Amino acid sequence: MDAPFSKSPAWVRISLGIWAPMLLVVCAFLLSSHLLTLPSPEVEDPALQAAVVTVRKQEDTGKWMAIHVLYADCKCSQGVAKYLVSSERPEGVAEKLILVGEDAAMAEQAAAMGFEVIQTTPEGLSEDWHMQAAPLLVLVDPANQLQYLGGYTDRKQAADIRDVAILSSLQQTKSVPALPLFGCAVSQSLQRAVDPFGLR
Amino acid sequence: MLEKIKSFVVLPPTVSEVEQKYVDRINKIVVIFFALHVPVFMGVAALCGTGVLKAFLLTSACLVGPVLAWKGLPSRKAALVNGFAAMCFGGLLVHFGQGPMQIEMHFYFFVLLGLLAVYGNPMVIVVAAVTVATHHLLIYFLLPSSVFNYEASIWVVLVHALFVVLQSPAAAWIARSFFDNVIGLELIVQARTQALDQRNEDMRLILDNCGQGFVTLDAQGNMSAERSPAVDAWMGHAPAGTPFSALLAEHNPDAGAWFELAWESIMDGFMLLELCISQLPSKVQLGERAVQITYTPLLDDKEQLTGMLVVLTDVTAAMAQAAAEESQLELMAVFGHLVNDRSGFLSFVEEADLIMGRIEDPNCNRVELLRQLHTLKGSGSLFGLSKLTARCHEAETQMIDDGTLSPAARKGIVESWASFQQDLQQLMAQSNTSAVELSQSEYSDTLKAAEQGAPHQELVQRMQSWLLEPTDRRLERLAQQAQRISGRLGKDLEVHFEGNGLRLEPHAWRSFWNTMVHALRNAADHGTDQSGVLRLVTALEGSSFVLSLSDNGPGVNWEQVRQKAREMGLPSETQADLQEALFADGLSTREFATETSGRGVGMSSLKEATVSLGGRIEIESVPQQGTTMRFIFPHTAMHGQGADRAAA
Repeated sequence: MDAPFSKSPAWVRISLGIWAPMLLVVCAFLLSSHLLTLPSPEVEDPALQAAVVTVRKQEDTGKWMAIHVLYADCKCSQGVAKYLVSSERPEGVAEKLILVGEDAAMAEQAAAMGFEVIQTTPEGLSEDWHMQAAPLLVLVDPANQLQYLGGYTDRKQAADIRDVAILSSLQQTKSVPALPLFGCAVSQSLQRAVDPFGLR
Repeated sequence: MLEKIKSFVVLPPTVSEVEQKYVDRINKIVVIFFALHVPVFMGVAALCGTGVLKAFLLTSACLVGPVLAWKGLPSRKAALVNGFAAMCFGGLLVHFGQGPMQIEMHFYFFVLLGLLAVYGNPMVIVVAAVTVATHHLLIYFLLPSSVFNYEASIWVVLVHALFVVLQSPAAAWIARSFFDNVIGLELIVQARTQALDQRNEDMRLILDNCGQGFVTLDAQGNMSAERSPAVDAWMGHAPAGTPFSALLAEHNPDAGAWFELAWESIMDGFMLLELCISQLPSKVQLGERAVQITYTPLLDDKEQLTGMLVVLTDVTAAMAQAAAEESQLELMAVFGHLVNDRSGFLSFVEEADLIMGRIEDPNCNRVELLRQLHTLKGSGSLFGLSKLTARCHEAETQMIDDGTLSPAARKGIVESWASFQQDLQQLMAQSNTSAVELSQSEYSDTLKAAEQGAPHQELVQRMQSWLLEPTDRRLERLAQQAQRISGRLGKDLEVHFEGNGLRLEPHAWRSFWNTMVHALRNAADHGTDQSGVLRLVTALEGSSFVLSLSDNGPGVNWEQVRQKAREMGLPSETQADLQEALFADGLSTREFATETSGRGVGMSSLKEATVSLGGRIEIESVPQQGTTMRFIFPHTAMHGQGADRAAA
């Protein structure tokens, strides 16, 4: 007969007793970052609507406006940024890039592609835009009405970024449901909630 | 149902030595395998940009459990820890492999579940599945509900876990099969060995306590190691592989050679197996022990001989008892003869004594010896001396087959006779007195003659005749013997005799009466059919004393006699030649000799006895009506006169 567990050295039993639950919790949190969606602000949020109005310039009058909220430290945001600078962009649309954090290369490339880059901090994003996660897509019609507020893909890190398709549908007056927001917590409060051990 | 599942998932508590070594080895390999995850995951993290240091720390943390378990837990418990850790490594890979390949990274869970089946322990698979399920469900309970949209994501979480759980029963089944049929094979073999040992022990107990010898031989006739103690006790111990014939030959060379020869015919396979087995020695003498041997062939599916079960039974006591019973029966028969026909029986004994002298004489020629043996056999048979008869028959057979009588056979007959005489002397110890037998009528006639004043000389002659033997008594005895013979042959024979008040000198006629039995046996054996009539008559015809023996059988086949006579180079032209040939030594119309007749010896003895009394023999035979043999003697021979002359 195999020796019973209770006859094993105590330190081994205790160590394993700590190790197993810890590992389980760590894995659970890691998984959550891949499966669970992040919060986005309400479309009717007045602060958000006010912020949208402030970024529209004179030359943008009468145009659809696409606001891309990206986080410099977020892998998902970096993926979207690469996509934006390498893909063919729609004509007659004023595209803005709100870059949270420092990423000069990303900013330069975006500017070169005709994006208006607006630098901010996590706190600024939270205070001015009431946003806590990125990447986030905001589409505004020529009358400054928010028509879309949500993610870029239907799955996390999916290759199929659908911003152009969503814009096109909206321009044809078709309603589009918001895609889930897969990405990174920007605000500290959300980071604490999603990644309490700083593992991500 | 639950019990069945439990007994399927949970292994038997006993860990065999083989399992212990196997699981220990697998645990060691698995720890090395897990350790290799550290650099690999760091590389994956570097490629995917998910943090090399983070990969190092988390993968190392995951490795702590397997290392601790390997060093500090029993092998089966350590395997469970490795099942848990494997799923955590899977989770880490999915995390560090973020990017376009992240979905493919999930395959690693299923690979690991499959790999864990090498433990042969379903519980390891169960632990792994439960780990995956638990760590997925933990998200639901740990993360703040205010942040997440549970309704949208919980299904994704559950589907993730479901596939792992679905694979688990199959992996568990493979693991259990692997345990039962490979790792647990030792236990199965052990259980079967124990069962076999128990059976062997039971069989050994039986063999040790039975009085018979059991041993199996292989197809070459070599002994196996397994045998009952009786075999070694009776034949001495011989190592496995010893030819049975060799062991047999140590005790009984003839039996050993006999066995070897018969076994060769078995191996040749030309003759029927049953026939070959019947030729193996069935009764042998092992020292003082008489052993009966029986053989049972061991055949394979194709009816080919693979071996032989040999059973030896000690029949010494049984044979001694049978011999004692036979002796007792003989003694009873002797007693019966002494009561019913004392003088006749004693006459036989005296004659047999003389014959025994001839048999013991080394100078006695072959023909004479054969006659004496045949006469003794016939007489002994009529008086119920079966042992003596059997010895004589064996000796006859030996003489005819080999042309000579071995000293051992000669000694056997003499010893058998000596044993009989010893019994007889005990029986006669109280009645060893000479007596004159007189019938009631003879006594009455003599008394009446004396009362009527018969002449003195007549009375003297009457009283002198009392010392002579009435032929009635001899004829009656012959009649009884004829009926016994016919009864033994399964025939219904009616025998009549007439003495006509005649008497004969007993000593002179003793040899004749003893050899007369041969004619009687011939008549009973092939002189009559299944039923018949035999007539024995003594009478005075003119100056001759005549004894006639007639039957109503098929008659003498003279053509057959002629043919046999020609074969033997005897004259066969005339009827007289044929009659002469009928009494020639060695002529018999029978193909095979039996204890009753067929040697061609008896009739020559009878003729010799007849001639020695000055007589002659005439034969009248009519086909399908019968045969009469007439033994014609001069009147003087009745008192023994002429016997000396003839003998001279």
